[in-house]
Amino acid sequence: MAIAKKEQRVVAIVWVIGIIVVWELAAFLLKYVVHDPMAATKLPYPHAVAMTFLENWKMLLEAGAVTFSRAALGFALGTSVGILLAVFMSLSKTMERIAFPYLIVSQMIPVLGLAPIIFNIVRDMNVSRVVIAAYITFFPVSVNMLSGLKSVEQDKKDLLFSIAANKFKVYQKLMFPFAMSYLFTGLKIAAPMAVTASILVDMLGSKSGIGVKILYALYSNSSNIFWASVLTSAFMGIISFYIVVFAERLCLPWQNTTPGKEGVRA
Amino acid sequence: MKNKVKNLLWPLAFGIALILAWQFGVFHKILDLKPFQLPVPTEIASTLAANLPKALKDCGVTISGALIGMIIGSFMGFMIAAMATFFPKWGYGGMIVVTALNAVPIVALSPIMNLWFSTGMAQKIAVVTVVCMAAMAINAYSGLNNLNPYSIDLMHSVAANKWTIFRKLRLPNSLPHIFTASKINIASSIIAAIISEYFAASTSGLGFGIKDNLRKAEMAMGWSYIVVASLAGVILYCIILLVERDALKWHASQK
Amino acid sequence: MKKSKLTSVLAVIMLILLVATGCSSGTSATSTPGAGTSGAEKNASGKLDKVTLQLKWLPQSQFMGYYVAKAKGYYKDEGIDLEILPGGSDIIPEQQVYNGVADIGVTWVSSLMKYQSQGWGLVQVGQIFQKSAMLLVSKTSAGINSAADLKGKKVGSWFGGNEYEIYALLEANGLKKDTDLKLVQQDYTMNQLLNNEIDAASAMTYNEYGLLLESGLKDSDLHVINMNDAGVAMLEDCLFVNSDWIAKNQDLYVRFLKASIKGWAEACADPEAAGKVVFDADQSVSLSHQVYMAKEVAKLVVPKDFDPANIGYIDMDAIKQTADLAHKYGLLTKPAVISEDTVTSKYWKEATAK
Repeated sequence: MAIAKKEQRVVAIVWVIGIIVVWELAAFLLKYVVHDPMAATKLPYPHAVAMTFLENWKMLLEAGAVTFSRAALGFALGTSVGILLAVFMSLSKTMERIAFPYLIVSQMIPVLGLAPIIFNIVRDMNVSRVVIAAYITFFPVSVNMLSGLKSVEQDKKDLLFSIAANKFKVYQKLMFPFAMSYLFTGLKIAAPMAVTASILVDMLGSKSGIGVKILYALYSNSSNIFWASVLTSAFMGIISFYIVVFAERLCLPWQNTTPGKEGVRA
Repeated sequence: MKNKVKNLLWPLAFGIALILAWQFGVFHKILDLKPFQLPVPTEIASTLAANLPKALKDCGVTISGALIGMIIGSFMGFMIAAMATFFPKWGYGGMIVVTALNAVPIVALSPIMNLWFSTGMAQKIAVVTVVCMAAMAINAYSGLNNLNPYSIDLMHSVAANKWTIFRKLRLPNSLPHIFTASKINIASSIIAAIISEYFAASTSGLGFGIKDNLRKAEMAMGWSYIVVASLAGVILYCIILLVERDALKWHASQK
Repeated sequence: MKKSKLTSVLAVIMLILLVATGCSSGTSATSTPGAGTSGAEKNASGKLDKVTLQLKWLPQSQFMGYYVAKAKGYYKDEGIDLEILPGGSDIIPEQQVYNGVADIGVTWVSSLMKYQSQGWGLVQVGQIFQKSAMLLVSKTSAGINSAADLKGKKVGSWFGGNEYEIYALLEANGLKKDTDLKLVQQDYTMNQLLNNEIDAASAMTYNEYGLLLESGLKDSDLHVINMNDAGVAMLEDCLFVNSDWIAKNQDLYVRFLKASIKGWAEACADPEAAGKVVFDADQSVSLSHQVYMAKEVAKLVVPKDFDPANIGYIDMDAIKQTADLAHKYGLLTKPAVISEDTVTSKYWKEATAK
């Protein structure tokens, strides 16, 4: 196990180095072989972006923290709503019939198109920011949780009911633990989405946050800051993903979704 | 049969109630909105009817971009998940990269993609591809690897090779997950296509229509675009559901 | 065993929530000091009235007058504690002001007219830009020497209400917007023009044109069609308020306008310093760009032969032209109603009275 972990680290490092080399090479080709006049904006050198990041790390981290906290709030709200909806829908077939089609419809409404309407309704910029982030995240959580709850085989449910367990007990002992791996799959998708949503909301108009930095950089043609901000947002997304992975390991240690264990097994 | 009727009746009744409440100003009262802020359904419907050919053309542009991007993205996502399964040591890095891509805000990349691709369509497809890749990769990976305990040992005991295990065990096991990913991707691909159109160098598509009309206070027109987008999404979703029902007859979730 | 799992899941969710609320309260704590300090200062001189101003776009020298007046304490002198809300791609000032998110808004006159015609109770109460800043810029290599040369070219516009001056320009030169040329959407940057993806691009004198110069092009590399010269200018940045709000806050608005005019006059007299003030307030774009923008904006706010004491003056002829063009080229389905309820100089007269 210890060896697997060490190997894993080597793999990760090789991947990171590989990507940087390919990126650097691509930027070089674009600039000196293709002679693209817009090369610096299309694909700047990673080292130039890294330098910009180091020069502005404080500003970027501060902006990132603002965005991340909004994302976390929206994520928490979206997750709670998503789980609740899934539970309600699994409780009653009628409920599912009513709610599910509208869940889908709700996702087809482009949130950016909704933004001015949400501002109209909520009338508070901060609340509407969290609402939008929650709105984007609740769907994958709900869909995954529901398919998890529905995947419980009927015989198992019947067995529990036959020993006179009530509905609450069945959920607690069977359904929830079973649906956990599905839920976490949903959370893994939702967490970076919450970050993305939060950045979008910054870009809609806000005083602080990484999205504002992206917008300003885009607008003023400072492509290195732009790419450094995009990189920062990507990091934020990855961190959010790993927070969920970490939580999953904590909650479901029997699961086999971690790469190290996979390697041992397959 | 009775079930089918019920399946339709309940949401229909709910929807009609919702629309009636909207039409007769219940929402306006609760949310304290004026009709010019939130147009009523009849106004949206008549605006849509008056502009139907243009709306359908824009819808075609957006949906075709979304679908092509989704197919390419889902395929790439699945391939990455399969690679990560076949080569757990090195392939998993691909999963990390995909997750990272998923975290990059697409809106931010849209203007850059404008530079990479000269047409609005190519830019849209590229944005949607990136968005759909991650959900598929994550779902397919967990489907390919969360196997029943002992099933892999069983396969080993009959001396099945990696490829046979993949085909006979992992692939069927991943199907429900793939459909889950497709359902998520339908929604996100349309959203991504619309958002990319906010920035694309063209004046067609639902995204442009929504943004342009909402800014110009043409609320009814903006809403009719939103309605078209939602309907198109729901229809695509239903198609996925039908395919899923046929493909997954054996699975517990379909019983 | 399983119960403990469930508890731990709940614990994690709680933890996330806690962290989130912790973070958000943390940010609100860090964001308040700015407001807090000005609050502390104002308390010494009595109670200040809180006013929020919604900008049309990002914090930049386009709005320098308000930033200068705020930095110099002119609002405080008038008993106002002003909060400036930056705009963004999805922030529509008309809606923000109507909903009460902001008290006063900055927008383009034609856009405001559109909202008014749809029944939104908004009223224009000041005109900051006396001239149109809209240009159509092309590289000289594209050979567009006059508006007629746009035939068969690819032309960029931001749309969303910003396309009507271009429509008017085309029509005035006998070009049909749907058949004679291709209009495409432009993003916030000038990359499409730089990249030769479009032949001519919309540009504001104070912003996008400067971006082109900063990217290394010279004035001689560019050909410009100016909307003012072409006789199709529409008025841009104006001040507007909610009709209900102004009915109750006439005096407050007059005080706001007084301080703003003072700020604008000072900014236009010394754009260099004004650009610096804006840059210090919110570092959205580089200092040099803010200064460039300040200089160009000054020309729009105080054109040649215009008395700086008259900043904010509403030129009814220009309003009329804007309304006529907006109606003629399809933004408005019926002619705009120009009355005391939609455009009023009442408060401006009060604010500028000696």
